[in-house]
Amino acid sequence: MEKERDMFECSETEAFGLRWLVLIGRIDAMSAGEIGRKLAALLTAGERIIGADLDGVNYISSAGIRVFLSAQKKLMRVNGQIVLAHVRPDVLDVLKMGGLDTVFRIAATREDAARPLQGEAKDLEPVSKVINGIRFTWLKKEGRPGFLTLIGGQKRLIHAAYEAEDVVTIPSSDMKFGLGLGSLGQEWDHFKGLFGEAMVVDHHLFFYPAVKNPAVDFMLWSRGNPPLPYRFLNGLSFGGAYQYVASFDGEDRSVSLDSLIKALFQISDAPLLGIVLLGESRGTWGMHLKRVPVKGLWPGPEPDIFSPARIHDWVDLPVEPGFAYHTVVAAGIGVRERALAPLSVKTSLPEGQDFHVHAGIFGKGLFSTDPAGFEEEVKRIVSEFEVLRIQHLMGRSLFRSGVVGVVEIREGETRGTLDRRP
Amino acid sequence: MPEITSPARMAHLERLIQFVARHAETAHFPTQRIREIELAVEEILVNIFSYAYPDTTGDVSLTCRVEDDLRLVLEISDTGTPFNILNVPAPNVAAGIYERQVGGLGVFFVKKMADEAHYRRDGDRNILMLIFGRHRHGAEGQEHAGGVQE
Repeated sequence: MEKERDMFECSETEAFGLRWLVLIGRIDAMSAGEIGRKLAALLTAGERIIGADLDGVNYISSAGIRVFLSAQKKLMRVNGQIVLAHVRPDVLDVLKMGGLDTVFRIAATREDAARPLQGEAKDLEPVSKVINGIRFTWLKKEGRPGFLTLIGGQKRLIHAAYEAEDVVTIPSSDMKFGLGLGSLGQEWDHFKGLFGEAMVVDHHLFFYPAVKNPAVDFMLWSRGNPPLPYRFLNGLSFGGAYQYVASFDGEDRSVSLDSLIKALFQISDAPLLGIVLLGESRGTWGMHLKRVPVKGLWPGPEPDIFSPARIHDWVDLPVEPGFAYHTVVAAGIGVRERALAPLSVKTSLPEGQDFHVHAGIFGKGLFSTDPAGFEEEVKRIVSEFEVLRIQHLMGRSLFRSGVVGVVEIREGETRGTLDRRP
Repeated sequence: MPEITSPARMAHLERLIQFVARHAETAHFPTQRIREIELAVEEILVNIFSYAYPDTTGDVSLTCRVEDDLRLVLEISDTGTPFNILNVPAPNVAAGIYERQVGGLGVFFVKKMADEAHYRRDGDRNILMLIFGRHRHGAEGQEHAGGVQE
């Protein structure tokens, strides 16, 4: 036994198209450092799916779990994941006890670990179904589940009292889809006055500064370029692959955002969805801030910018639907049941709402609603169509038809203070 | 009672865990149970190594005995910052990894693995007593609702 303990080995190999760490010995506070370094090196080298073969491991402690968890969080932001294979019963017992058997994918063999990846390219036959009067045609995809990052907090919003310390900076490479109160720039003094309704689609940032006579500012980013610092006071970001891509058509009626999102929860059984929408507007109901809620920009103090007495100074509220026939690209999250959502998720949803969606209003034009070409079509629209407005989209916004991509979110993290500070 | 004292540093982790494991081995505890005891001991020791002596160095002492080959009684003590590790809140292991505190996971494992866990402050010492039966409380298949009495 003494002898067995002394040796810990961590080697690398390649099998079934994946890079593998082959571990022998105890995964504990002593060996965790070496495993962490190897995982970090594979991540830096661009590996996105990393296998860990635990056939020779019969002991794991929280220090060992921590390095895998930390790598998993980084990988999930870039659509990757860790796969564990040959997990022995004693180790599985500890992972289950800590609820980690759902955080890591656990495969029986190395071959099984690679299998769903090979299947990923193959989409199944489309399914067609009428739900709540909306005709859907969807493709089920074998994508990896999504990852949600909740950013910053809302508490200082109502007092218009955000400060430099509230800024959460997210590199464009880490943010595939998202929304919030966002801005862009190097220096707080330069970007603090430009925060506004923001949306991130396919790593591109669009925001509508809450200033007089604003125009949408945007930054197109593509893989291979250096990451840009996206600045947020609050918001959320999600990544992952689409598990469903569904075209929708109200046939002779318009489809409200409310009814569309409710129907998505009949297509997917997940409790939390990331939603990306491309649709033709029949009138959007959207809001945006008119002033930047940063301390010092306005004579304070503000008891509550959303109070009936103050809201008209701070928020542009719609009195009628707008932008009919325009092309809308929207991104956000929805929960099946608000009451059951984790508190952190709940606080990032508007009061009483079970979804939070920001929309970019783009110019009028033709686009394809074929689910198979959805990702390419969204890329084309956001980079080629003129963008007119970014707004917080309300549930009664109407669409004639469109396509929606659904990411089932299974994991998450928080960045910034959320609302823990008094 | 057999006792071992060592500097509270990671380099001594294995030696200290072995000290406890040998008692369990001598009493013929099942192999899986020995690993569970080792896990609990590691979690406590790593916490002490990391947090008990923030500005200085210090020692950690272990005393261990097995009663009637049935119960392993372990005391781990340090003279560091007063701290009752049993008060660390349990992580939410059920709801994905939202705000999952890996730090809390170690203590959670200790409470799951030990039949009993008691903390006391005695003069300048933090003393944690852990008691392990030959089998994990409620380990046979079904979910165990935290077997720890405090």
